[in-house]
Amino acid sequence: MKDSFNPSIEPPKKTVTLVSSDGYDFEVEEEVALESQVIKDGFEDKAVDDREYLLFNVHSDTLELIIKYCEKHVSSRKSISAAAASSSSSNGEEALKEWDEHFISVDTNTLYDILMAADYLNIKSLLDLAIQKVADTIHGRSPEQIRKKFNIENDSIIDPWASE
Amino acid sequence: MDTESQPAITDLELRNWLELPRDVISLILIKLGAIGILCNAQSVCSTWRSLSKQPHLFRSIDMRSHRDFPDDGDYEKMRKSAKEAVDRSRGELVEFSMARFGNDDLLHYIVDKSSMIKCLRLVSCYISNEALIEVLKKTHCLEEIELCYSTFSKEVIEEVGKNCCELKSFRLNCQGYRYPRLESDEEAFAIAENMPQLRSLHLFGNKLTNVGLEAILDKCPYLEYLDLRECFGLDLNGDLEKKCVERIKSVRLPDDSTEDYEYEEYQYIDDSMDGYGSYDDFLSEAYSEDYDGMANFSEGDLFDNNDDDDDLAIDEWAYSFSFY
Repeated sequence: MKDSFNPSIEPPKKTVTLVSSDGYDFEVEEEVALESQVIKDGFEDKAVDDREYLLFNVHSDTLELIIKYCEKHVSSRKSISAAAASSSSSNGEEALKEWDEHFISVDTNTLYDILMAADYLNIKSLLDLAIQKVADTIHGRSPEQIRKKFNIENDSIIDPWASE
Repeated sequence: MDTESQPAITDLELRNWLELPRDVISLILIKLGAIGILCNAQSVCSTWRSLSKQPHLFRSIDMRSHRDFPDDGDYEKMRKSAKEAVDRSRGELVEFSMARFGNDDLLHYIVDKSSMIKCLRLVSCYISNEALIEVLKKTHCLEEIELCYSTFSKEVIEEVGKNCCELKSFRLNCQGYRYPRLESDEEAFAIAENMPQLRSLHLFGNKLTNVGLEAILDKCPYLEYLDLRECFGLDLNGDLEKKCVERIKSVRLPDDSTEDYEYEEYQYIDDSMDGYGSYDDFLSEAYSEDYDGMANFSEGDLFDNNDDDDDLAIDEWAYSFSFY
């Protein structure tokens, strides 16, 4: 088998179907879907022609963003390793970091949705990115400002610092 | 895909952040750090407060940046928070870093409550030699020690080496001065003699000379990283630089860029001196070829500044002398 392998002929891209909570189908390349550890874990158990995933917790708006993120990361990883293999200089990692920063600059509601979806689908790098964004937003804010920003009701009775 | 016609996601409806899984909230709290948790996050609501009590959030406490402190400068309050953070770790503390507000009492407190501590970073803290030596005798698993922008005796360095047989990384950064050139190999010798296991050594701004560096290269065979930036007592032209670069995987040389230096705020910037290779060059250039011209010599000429910060540069320059 190995001898007959010809790298110049690309095999047809395998795809899987992701179905959002509001019933929309998204056909994505297998390697893009496998960015999700949850999909990856169950992947081998599924029949090849039945690779459809119902994502009950992810709305189509969010799923679109998540797919965009995964596609970008898959393609960047390829170009970074290609640059490394040909030992040509590349600022791929730097550029990806910038892209990430831009990607996660979203309103609080969208950030929440991304956070939930990244956690549900177990996409570690995206979860890290979103968590860092939340932490950056919180830094320098008082408890009252944090509550306001994230719509959290104050049910605390005592404030440990105020009580001193 | 056409998403126009789908039932609109209720964008106007605010999400309830309390519905985030506890694991996710905990990850956010870890990112906020001990101070972010104690000063702000734990007071947001009862859920965040109860999650803020998990010991694993306090395994690594970094209080070098004071940006989340509502009362920056109130060192008493900072020490109180530090103790609270140490208490919450319930003995799981592995890494503790602090800048400026640390004192002997706090250092004892940290080490007495943390038998698993592996990394201690003290930046610009007023801690006595005696207290540090005492503490070193109590802990034996320290792998990383940082004593930056502080003045400790060479006995402290010796004790670090003697008591921490697991020590892999040592940082002794201080203010580097090109002029006047101060030279001393006391610390370099103490390191060479007592820390043979070192993998990483930071001596930013140290006063060591070629002799001290030779000793370190000879006695610390496992060194992989060596930061010698702003060690202006070194003269690395020739064999010694070659030996450094050949022996050690990653070396930062005295004149290397300090752009990525982590303690920028403690660093003395003397751009007025840029372009002068040594103190002698500086003098000869300043007093130029024509000594008679001294009568008309203005401060602006002396510092060769093209910007308007001459006065500032002179103040800083004067400060660099008065520092010693």
